[in-house]
Amino acid sequence: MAVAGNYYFAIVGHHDNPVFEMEFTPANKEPKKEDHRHLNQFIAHAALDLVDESMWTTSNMYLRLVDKFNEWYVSAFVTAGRIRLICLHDVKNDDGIKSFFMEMYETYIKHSMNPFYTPNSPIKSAAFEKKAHFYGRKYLTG
Amino acid sequence: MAQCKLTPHEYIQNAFAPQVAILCSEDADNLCLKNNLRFVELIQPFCRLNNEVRIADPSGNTVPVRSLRVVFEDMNRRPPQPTLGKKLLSEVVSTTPWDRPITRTVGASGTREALDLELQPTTPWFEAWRDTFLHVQYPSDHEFTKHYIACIVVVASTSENPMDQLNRLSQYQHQQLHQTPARFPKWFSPNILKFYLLIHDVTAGDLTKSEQVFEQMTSMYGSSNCHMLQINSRHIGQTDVHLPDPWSQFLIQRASCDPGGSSSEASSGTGTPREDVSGLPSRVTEGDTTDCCESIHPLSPTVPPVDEKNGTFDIMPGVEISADVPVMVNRPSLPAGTVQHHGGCLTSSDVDRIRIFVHEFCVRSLIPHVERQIRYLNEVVTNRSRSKSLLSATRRWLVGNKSPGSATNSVIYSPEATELQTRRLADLCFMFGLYELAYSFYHTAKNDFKSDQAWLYFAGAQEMAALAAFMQNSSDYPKRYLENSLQTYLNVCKVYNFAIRSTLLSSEVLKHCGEYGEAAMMFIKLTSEESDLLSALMLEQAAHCFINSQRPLPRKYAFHMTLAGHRFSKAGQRSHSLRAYKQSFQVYASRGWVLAEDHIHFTLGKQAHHLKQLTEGLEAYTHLVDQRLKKNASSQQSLSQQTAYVREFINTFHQYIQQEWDSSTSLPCLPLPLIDSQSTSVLLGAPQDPPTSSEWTCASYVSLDSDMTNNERWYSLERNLVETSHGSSLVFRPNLQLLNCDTPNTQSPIVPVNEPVLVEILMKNPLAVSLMISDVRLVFSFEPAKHVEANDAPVKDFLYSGFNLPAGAEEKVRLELHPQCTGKLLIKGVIYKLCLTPDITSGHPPGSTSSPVIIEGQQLIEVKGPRLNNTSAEKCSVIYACDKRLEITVVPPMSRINVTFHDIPQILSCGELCSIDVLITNIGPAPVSKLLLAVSDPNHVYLDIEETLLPAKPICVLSDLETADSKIANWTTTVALPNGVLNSGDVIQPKLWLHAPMTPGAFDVELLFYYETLNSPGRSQYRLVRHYSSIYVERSLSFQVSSTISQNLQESLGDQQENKRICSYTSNLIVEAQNNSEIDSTCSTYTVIGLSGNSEKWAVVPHSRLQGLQLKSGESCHLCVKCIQHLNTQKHGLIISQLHFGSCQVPLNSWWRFSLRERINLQDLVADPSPPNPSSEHIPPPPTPTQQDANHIIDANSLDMVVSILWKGERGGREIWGQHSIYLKNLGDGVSIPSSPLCQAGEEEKPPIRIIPETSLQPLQSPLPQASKLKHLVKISAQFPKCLEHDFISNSRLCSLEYELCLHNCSSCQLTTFLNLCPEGFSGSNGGVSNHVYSPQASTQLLYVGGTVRKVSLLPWGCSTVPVRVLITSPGTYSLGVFYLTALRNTAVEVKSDQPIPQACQLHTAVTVRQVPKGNHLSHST
Repeated sequence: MAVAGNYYFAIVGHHDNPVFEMEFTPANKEPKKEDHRHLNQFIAHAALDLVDESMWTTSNMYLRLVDKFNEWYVSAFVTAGRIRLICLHDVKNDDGIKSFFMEMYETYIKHSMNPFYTPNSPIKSAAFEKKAHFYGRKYLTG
Repeated sequence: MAQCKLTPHEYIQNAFAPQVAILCSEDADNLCLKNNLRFVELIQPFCRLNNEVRIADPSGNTVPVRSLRVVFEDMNRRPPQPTLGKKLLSEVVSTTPWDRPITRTVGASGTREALDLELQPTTPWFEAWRDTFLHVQYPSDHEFTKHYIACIVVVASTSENPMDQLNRLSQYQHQQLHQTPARFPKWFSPNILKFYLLIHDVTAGDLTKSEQVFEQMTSMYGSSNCHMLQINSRHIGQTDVHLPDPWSQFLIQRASCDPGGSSSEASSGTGTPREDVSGLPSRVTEGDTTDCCESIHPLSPTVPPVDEKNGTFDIMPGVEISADVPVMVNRPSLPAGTVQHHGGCLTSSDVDRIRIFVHEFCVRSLIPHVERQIRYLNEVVTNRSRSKSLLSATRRWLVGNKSPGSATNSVIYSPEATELQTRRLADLCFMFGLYELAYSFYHTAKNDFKSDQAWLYFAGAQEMAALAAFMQNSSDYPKRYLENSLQTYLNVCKVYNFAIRSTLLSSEVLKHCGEYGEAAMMFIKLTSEESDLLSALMLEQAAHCFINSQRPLPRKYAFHMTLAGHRFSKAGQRSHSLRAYKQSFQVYASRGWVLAEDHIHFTLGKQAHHLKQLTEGLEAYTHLVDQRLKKNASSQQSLSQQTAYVREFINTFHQYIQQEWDSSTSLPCLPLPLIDSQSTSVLLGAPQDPPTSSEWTCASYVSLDSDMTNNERWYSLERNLVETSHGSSLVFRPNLQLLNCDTPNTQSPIVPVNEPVLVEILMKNPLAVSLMISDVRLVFSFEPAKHVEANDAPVKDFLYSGFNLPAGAEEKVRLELHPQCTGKLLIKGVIYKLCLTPDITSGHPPGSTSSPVIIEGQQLIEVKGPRLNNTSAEKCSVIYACDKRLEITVVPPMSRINVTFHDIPQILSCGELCSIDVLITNIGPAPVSKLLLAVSDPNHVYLDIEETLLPAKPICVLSDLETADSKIANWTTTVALPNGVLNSGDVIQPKLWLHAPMTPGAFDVELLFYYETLNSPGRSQYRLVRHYSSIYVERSLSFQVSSTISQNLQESLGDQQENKRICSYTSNLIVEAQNNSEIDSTCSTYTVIGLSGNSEKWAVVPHSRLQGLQLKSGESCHLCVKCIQHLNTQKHGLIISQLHFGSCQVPLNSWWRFSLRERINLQDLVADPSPPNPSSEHIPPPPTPTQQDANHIIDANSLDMVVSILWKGERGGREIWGQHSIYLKNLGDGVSIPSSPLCQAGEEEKPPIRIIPETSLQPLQSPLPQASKLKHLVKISAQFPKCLEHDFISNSRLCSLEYELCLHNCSSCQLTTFLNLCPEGFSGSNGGVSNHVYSPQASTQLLYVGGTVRKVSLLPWGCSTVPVRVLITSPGTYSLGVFYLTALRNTAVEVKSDQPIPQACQLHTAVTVRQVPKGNHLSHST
């Protein structure tokens, strides 16, 4: 079900700060050039404006496509606590991204219940990364 | 978007202003050139009419036209070539100055917080660009707004024959107008307005002559078409600076218009477009997420479309002007630049005249002409359209309604075609403000063009129709017309210039209507790969649209500003790039998008560097390399990227230092490496002299490597010392030598003159790039004390040569200062040189000698104390304590002690004794008045100058002085000084005695010397020397000592004079020694050579002569010695008794002091002094008799003896000596050392930890000790003959034996004893029943006579004699002592609560009774 493509996933905190970032590339493709990593951040950050707009139009947490820039589509998910999950992708994969978001939402909630984690601070947890990696492989890059 | 100077209406009106050609003779131009202006330029500032004019529409109604603007152009002007046009546009953008940005608060919305952004209120460069863009456009055939509507022929009165010239020029104009094929310039219609102007130079010309010429002109061309303009009323020399220069703003483009001009390259900010390095995309498509935007094809504002068939730009004439035409084609190049003053020869009345001329021209000639034209065209159009409507309707019906895009455009109209006439009419109406009329004509034309499938024409008409509708009624206009026309321009006709123009116009319209999002999308659609400048401008405008829309989108704004900045940089517009990046960064700042931030900073740095704005560039690069500012995440960049960043940073810093830095100020701060200010340590008065010989080791002192975890112990020792020296009234504050973040640094530390101050700084490299740091020095200030003359260099400082700091590494840098006079020394920071570590592997080719750039900078060190949390104010806010570790007070010289040790052992066996020679030298300039020492373990360590010998008696009673060792109550001792003073250079040489502890492991010897300088000025200051050494203690012997109570009584030892002899019981000490040393120990064979005990009243005596016992590893031996009581007359004196096995004598004469020191029982060093007990004040109640008795009984049972077993061994050919000391409290106790070694070996199960303590209900205990302790209160002794003879046959059948039993009270209680001589139940007491057959024991068949049950009272320690008589019936051996003795304390008798306690007092006696042989008859008894 998953379609091979490039993905960039970010969790954005309340101050528009990235809490977690990860890139997913298909296993058979070589990863993108390093020089363009900052572009992902630019696009994801710019899409926040449109997330804010489309947030009010639906009662769902999953907002589907909110923005598009060149070859990148931007899908978003806003949690009940207004944490934004942003995903950049260059292929359409609505179901996969939705499942991915749901899983990551749950993982994030579990992580945020850790009393040693300060909300809105960057997540530096190997377990969290492992989970993200696993779900990315499961739902995104396949 | 930023506000434009012009409203959309004004802008549209300006964009479609009527064009008027100027044909100027050379003479006329020369006249004008006196003012540094050509004629066209001269009138340019005045081409807008200030007052309202009226124009009549075809039906005769007059319509007001406000601020009509007429564009005057040189008739021979050609739009510049594409490359030149490009350059021109670029020039305009780069030279237009801009305002300062203003701060605006973008309110919070959605998930976004409010932001304060510095926004550009206006974008003048964009306005200049779009004006220029329109100006450089080639006029097209499908519209007429760019076509000349009139022509003004200008001649000068000073020329030889103005009339002739006029004639020739107008002929030339006519020729141009009617040339076929039509070339440039384009004319609005064949019938244009011609106007004739005579210029009269007031200073040079003859007015009458001019007037004559003018009269000729009016008669020839009609008075309404002629005008005489008088200028140059002032001589060249006269300059009037008061006149404003209205021309300068119009002349910016002049220099760059000049094809040969080379000035464009020189102007700042315009460089060659650079290659793309930043990785931002050139192409931008975005929008609604559903449609996949097609990418835009190459476009450029100045490249003419490739579609030749359009017939738009197919004619590109070279300017062909015959040589005889007096027109300046190659004009003398005007000096570039605008520094000269314009209009120097013009007075204000001249300017007024020019204004009048323009007004006259418009009102009296142009408008009537336009009115005529409109009427004429209207007639033509209405007439023709009637005949044509049927035709077109038919065609429309046949062809069907086709949409643009489906067919290629191949329609070519003749100039006089009706459709074009309609369009012409519409344009004319539009230009002169008749918008309603214009709209209807545009609409007609649009439909016509559409039916003809002339798409370009159609798009143009549609666009104009929309604009006309907008101009007429700005709220309601056909928006779709604009969109359609833009689509047609882009996709069907591929005429990008018109698409751009259309965008510029329609975005204004959209913005006016508040549809900023649409406008932004429109701008974004125009971005392309090819034209960077255009894309940059469009993106920037889009960004402004985002931020200015009703709901601002600052993040979109920031992204598009970044993209714009990127494109600006590609287009070579460095300053714009810098500005755009700066503005976009405000949104990203400190949010944690590190990669984005890095990109922005890197670009900012590069642009600023190129623009020579080194300060800004440096700031940006500093951001890149400075990890302190990275709020949330450290640099995620790759190694190569980081290397590039650091290299750029260093280069920029280097240039900055060379070019902009003011050398009078201190060096700028470097962000690399990280300096952890808080972990800065300061060491005062560091030791500097190494020991003279290798055998002598220095005291460890306090060094920067000292372990800080034990500080509490040292402080505790120090407090003890201070209290010993000054009494405990002082508030104790430790005298710190090493200050770091853990020490209390509220007081400024003190260092004497000429003693070094060592500062340790922790440098960290946060990057993946290794750095080279060299020439590190401290930055400090020194303020000499009052009335102290500071010499040239009050503080000597030393250079730290340098080191390489690899990626991610830490380095401690130690820097030294030597203050040379008293005052205040303030350490501020550190100064050092920094460069990238030259890479050896991939470095430069061997030939090149380029060395890495080295920069020098400083970093400040700021320290703060711990956070305070005492008062409520401190709890509510974040307040830190002050920290003065870097503010050092330099005081006058003080004494200074140097302590060295001779050969401190590395390894000791458990219990080993050793002595170390110590050398204490005063190396300071002042004498020492007091020397104290504190040791953390006085049981095992002491320092003494002389040894104390013990008398060689087996038992000696020690004096109070000698027993002082056992009564030590704190950790300090005073070291005696000769004459009380240790002068400078003097030495004392005491010995340090060590007794290794009984448990193996580490033996920490902690010595703290305390000394005071004699007559030290000011407050009494003491100084300290620390020594710490850890000695490894290996296993040697283990002992188990137990004492048992003997039944025997023995007379106490004691002074012989004493009459009172007390008999007391004795005790056996059983010692088991085992050698449990390990195989690989340095010493594995031990010999037990002696035993000693010290107690208040017990002494050890040998049972027999003992030999030294050698024990190999694993062997064990047993010893048994006797303890007897020794009467001690002194109240608190100790009795020390020693047994030497064999003839061995311990050469260490002070061994006994350690066995005394074993009694020292100190609290834990770091434990808090116990709080004063509130109940300690009231006197405890006098002890009850029971308690007293209990004490007496405990006393009687107590042994209170330290048993020391001395041994010797051999290590490395040297004899070693040691002792194990064991304290036995009570008789009957057994202690083994090391205590329970088995438990230590195995994992013992720990009891569960209880958080809530268990409260066990303990029954109220009687103060009396348990019954087992009460069994030895009374002992019995008897005096009787061992052997007696009795003649049972002859004398009597009964042998009577009388003797005395002595009852000894071995306690201090008054006792009542009950003696039963014939206890029942004791076998054999009354006629043996059991022991008939065989009894190895003495017979008990004897009979006590007299009172067999006695009650005896015993005084404390008293003795009572009981005479008893026993009858024996037959010879044999008899045991006398089967008694039953119970004792009861007198106090208990009164209370009658306790039962008498049976006493263990078996008397092992045997009496042999023999039959007297016959003949030898003697009777002992009566």
